[in-house]
Amino acid sequence: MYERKLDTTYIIDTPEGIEIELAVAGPVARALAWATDFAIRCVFFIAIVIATQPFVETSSLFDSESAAFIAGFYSIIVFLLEWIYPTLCEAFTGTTPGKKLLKLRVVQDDGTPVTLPSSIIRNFLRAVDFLPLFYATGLVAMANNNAFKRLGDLAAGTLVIHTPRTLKTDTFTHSQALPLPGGLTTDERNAIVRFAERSSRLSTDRQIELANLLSDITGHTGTVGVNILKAWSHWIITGQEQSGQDKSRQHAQSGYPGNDSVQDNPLQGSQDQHVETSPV
Amino acid sequence: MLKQAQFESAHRSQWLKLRATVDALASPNPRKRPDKDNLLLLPELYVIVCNHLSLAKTRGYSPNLINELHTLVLDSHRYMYQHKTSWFRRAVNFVKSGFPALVRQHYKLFWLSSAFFYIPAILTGLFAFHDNDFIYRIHDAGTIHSMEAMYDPSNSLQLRPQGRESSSDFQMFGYYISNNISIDFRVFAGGMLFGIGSIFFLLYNGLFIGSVAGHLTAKGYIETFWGFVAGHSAFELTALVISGMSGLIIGLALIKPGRLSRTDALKKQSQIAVRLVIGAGIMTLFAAFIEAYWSSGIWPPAIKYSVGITLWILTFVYLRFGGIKSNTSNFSQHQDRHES
Repeated sequence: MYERKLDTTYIIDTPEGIEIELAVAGPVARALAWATDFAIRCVFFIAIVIATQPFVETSSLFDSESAAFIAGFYSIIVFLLEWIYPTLCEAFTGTTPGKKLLKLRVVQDDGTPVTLPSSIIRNFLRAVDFLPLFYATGLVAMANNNAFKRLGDLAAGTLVIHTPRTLKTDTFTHSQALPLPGGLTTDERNAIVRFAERSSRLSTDRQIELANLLSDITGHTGTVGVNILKAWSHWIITGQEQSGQDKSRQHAQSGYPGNDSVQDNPLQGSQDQHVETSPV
Repeated sequence: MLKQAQFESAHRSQWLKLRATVDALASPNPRKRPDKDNLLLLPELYVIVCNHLSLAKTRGYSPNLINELHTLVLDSHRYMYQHKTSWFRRAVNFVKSGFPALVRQHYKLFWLSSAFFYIPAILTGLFAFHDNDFIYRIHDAGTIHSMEAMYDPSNSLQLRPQGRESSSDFQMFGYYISNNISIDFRVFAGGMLFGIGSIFFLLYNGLFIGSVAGHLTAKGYIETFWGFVAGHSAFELTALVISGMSGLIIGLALIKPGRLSRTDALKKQSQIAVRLVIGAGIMTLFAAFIEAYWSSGIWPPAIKYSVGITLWILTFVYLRFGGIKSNTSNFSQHQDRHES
């Protein structure tokens, strides 16, 4: 049931025989991250120019000494911002401030944190990816492989990924478990559970609309159908015929307070309301 | 088959334990990092949770649970398999032995890169020396004029009787860093264009430096020009050649990947090339120090020349023998122990 999707997911096989999926970041997110970093670098440089302004002003045009010192200082800052800032940021934190803002992270293409040499390779090769203008070469390269790698990423063996979501708050609460009818495949059972899990993020109308698609199986439309599906998924997960006290079963482990027992009896969900709100 | 709820309640404590360890590892505060006992639990818990994930997938447990376990495995995987480096020790070893050994290992490319740089430099140098107008084919009049002004003996003595001010030394240091090290990095990146970019930069710099040197020598600005460049030339030119090498390595991986796919060859050779260009960058940094603080000083030409020659010899010795001695001494120690 876990099939390869037609998607930007990048799959890594680990030594434990597990597949890890990474969501590879596309050109738009990366361009925005680059623009953010560029802005940060500009602001940093302007801040330094402003901070050193008193020294520049006190030195007249002919006082070449301090002016020269500051010019040398600026050269070094520009060099550091151009070459060293992205390299060290990525090597030590796995991301740059701009990427962090867009929730991107650089990893090796085996999913491990990016190493210093790889970070150097991918950032120094920007000079080529940028050619002839605005990362045109990089964009062509990204369009020609399955992981949006620009030339620097190809050489360094790195990926830019969306930082994995750490916790989902989908909780599924239902009070009653009903035995499933026979003859459902694993995929179909899974679809039912997925529906119940997602239901907290769906409007009542949408829940009813979706549940009505299965009215042939549930034998009901409207809120009743929704409640039957939820009760079935409760049964799939717990395998129990209702434990009276277990009113709200917490699915994800977060301390999220489940909306306690919305309905006591699935078959009792107000029929009137259904008539009013049903899109059918 | 175990129902999902039973499965969860049976194993959730282990998942929470692994989550706590991984979160502690991710913490930026070193005091919150896990202690040794907790750390030793990581591999075992990781394997267990991997097993749980594949069970959850094959048993068709709910996507939420699979997603939760997947996230946990993903986060732990980062720490289980990260490439651990003690960067300081590696940096010292690299400068001491790794870098010269790497240059020797690819000595053919070193000489090839040298040829791309020195042959046009010497040729244009000779042309510019014999034909006073030749340099105007390469540079515009403004550049030539400022070059001449910079190294004109009467001019420079007049302008800086005590040598340059220390602050303008710093200005030049900043300029040399941003300019010369950036050139090294671009030469490396140029390798990605099938090596052509690197070759272009080598030829271009060869033409530039060679023609200026030939022209100024013909003009008789020998002590000011050669005296100035003598000190830093060894590090700077050798570093340029080595960054050319690094670009050629990348270019060759693309042109001649051998038995690997082009991508794999590129990945493999880039890891070598990057070490060369970092070494070259460090050499150029030293050259910038010398150029800014020594080369500009007023010293008798004889001293400047001998320092220059000494540094060329040192560079040669470093690249030719660096890293060899420590191996042989290890070897002899080993033999001593064997005999005793």
